[in-house]
Amino acid sequence: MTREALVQRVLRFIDASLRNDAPEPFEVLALDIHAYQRARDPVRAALTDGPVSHWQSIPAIPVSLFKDLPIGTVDPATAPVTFRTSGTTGGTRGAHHLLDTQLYDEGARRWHATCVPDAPRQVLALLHDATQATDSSLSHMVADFGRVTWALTDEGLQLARLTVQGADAVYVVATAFALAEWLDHQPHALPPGSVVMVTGGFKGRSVALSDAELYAKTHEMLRPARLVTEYGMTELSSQLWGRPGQPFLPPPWLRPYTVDPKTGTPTQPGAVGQLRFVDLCNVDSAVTIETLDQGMVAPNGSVHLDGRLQGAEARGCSLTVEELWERLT
Amino acid sequence: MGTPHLTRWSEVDAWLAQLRQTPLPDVGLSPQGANAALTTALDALHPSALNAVAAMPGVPFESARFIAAGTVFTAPLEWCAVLLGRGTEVTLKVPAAGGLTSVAAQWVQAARLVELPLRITTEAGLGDEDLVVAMGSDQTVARLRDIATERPHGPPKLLAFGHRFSCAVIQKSDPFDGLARDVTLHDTRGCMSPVWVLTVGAPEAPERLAEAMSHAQTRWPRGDVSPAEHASIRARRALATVVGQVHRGDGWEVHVLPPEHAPPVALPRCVAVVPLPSHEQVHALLLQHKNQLSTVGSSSTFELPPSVRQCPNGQMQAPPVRRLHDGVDWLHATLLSVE
Repeated sequence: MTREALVQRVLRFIDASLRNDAPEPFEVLALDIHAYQRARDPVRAALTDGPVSHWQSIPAIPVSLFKDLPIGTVDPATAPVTFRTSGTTGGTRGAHHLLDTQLYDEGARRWHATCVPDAPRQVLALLHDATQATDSSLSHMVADFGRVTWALTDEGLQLARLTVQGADAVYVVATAFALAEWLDHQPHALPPGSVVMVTGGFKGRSVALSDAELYAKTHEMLRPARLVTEYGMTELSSQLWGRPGQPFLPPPWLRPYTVDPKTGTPTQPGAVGQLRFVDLCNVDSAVTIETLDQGMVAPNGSVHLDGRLQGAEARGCSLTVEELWERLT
Repeated sequence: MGTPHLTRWSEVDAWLAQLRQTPLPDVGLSPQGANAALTTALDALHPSALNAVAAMPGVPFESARFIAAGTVFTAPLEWCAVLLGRGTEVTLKVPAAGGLTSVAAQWVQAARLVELPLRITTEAGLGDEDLVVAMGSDQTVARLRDIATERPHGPPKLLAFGHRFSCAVIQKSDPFDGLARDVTLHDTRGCMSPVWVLTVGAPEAPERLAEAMSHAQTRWPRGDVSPAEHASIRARRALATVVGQVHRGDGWEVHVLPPEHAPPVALPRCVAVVPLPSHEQVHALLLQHKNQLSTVGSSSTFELPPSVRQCPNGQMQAPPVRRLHDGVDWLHATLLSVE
């Protein structure tokens, strides 16, 4: 099985699943991608003990390993594309190496169009410019949304770039942290029909708003026609979309499930647990990853996200799990 | 010349004796583990140790606040014993809930019986006390230092201790039972728990440590482990599977890892064994982390700053009262003035 053959199969799966056509079985493709990766990735090979015959039995690569080891089938030294986690000063950043972004782009574009069909093409991104922050998967994704004004630089949020000219609807794309910072500056309401997309949390901000507070403040100040939420990560090629107060919807080529954090064994459907994702678009890297997040996967596949796994908070003077995770993200 | 201060050493002796007999509440450790931890802490506060402290000349603070971390429930004991014995009124600041909060309530109740001025609070901040001792994360310490200067009635004397970790060094023929006890006590949480075992010329060390950890688990079972800790243990197990070795049993794990893949993180009963080729390499690694090291357990000594306590393995979690605490002569630092 060649990479190109797998890529074509995933592309056909994406297309067929969105047309409600019958793609090949998800599990068959997932297992073939695992077999392809096992033969080429020493990390996956070392973590695979015996034959794998069920999609939930595919060894899940913990996201922390993307910081420690080269994950996947692409030589890190020559990888044409590398997305990296944001990281903290002095910390090692996780790296996701790809041969190209064909699957990433197709999956992102198609599912975004499905979930946010009314997204305006004039984009205000409270993010770093994708042409400069080439290792940011989020900026890469947003660059495809339309005509983008990038409003975040190394010096911080550039408020002047966020001044909306005209009456055409705009699509504001922001991390929760950046959005909260912009709202602190009392921005004007957006033109009618505008959409606001929020992703991520408040890492590093000393005073955090709850999700509900942030959304309420966004509606009050910016008055968008719609507010959407996005859940993604550097280690995935696919994203989930949602609305405030509602679960996240994964695309048909991304299958989430939960495990008992103690044992790593799958929980009963509908039980809260540690989130894992099987991402068919991760042909070059890790078809199954294990996150540090807790949630519940509903029977329809939607994800109710609780946040980080419980018990990570710093409780004392030893380096704790929370501090270790802060170095990872 | 001020009013002579009233010491309360005999009351402290009675208080400590009472604590030995009081059944512990749930502190997140197993009952056997909690009792072992308490016994170890109380044994260090033996009469001769406290008599030596009592004989130190100096003027005590009128009041002190101890801001406790949640990881090692016994950490405040020696500080409270010394401060109370000297006549200082002590406020113990504890988390809003949890094992430390429950056991601190017991300490206060026992203190009342012998008329020791010990109280607890869950309110954040520096309070009104003249001396503040704080243990916690580097973030906690930084925050306290920031607000200390802004306290309305003047800053307290602040002794703040942030992130530290400890490690053990094993060389050929070194015993393992004492090391396993050091790892086991407080379920490897706390700054004096060895999170690394650096080995030199001891290829059998992982297996022997695994055997000792298994025995320790039988004697002092591991307590509560959070979902986040479980996930981190499994993630590091995966890493060790790829780049090293894994030895594990019910309630404990030994991960053999190269130094570049072993951040010094506290995972309950999950220790990283880091084989190094020479004593010099061990020393170099210790020096690299000298500002974060609390304790090094070893059968030999290394040239390290005095802020790093060095002791034999098996004694890492039993520090003597008279010592430097993260480089601070705490017995003198907790006096208002030294006569």
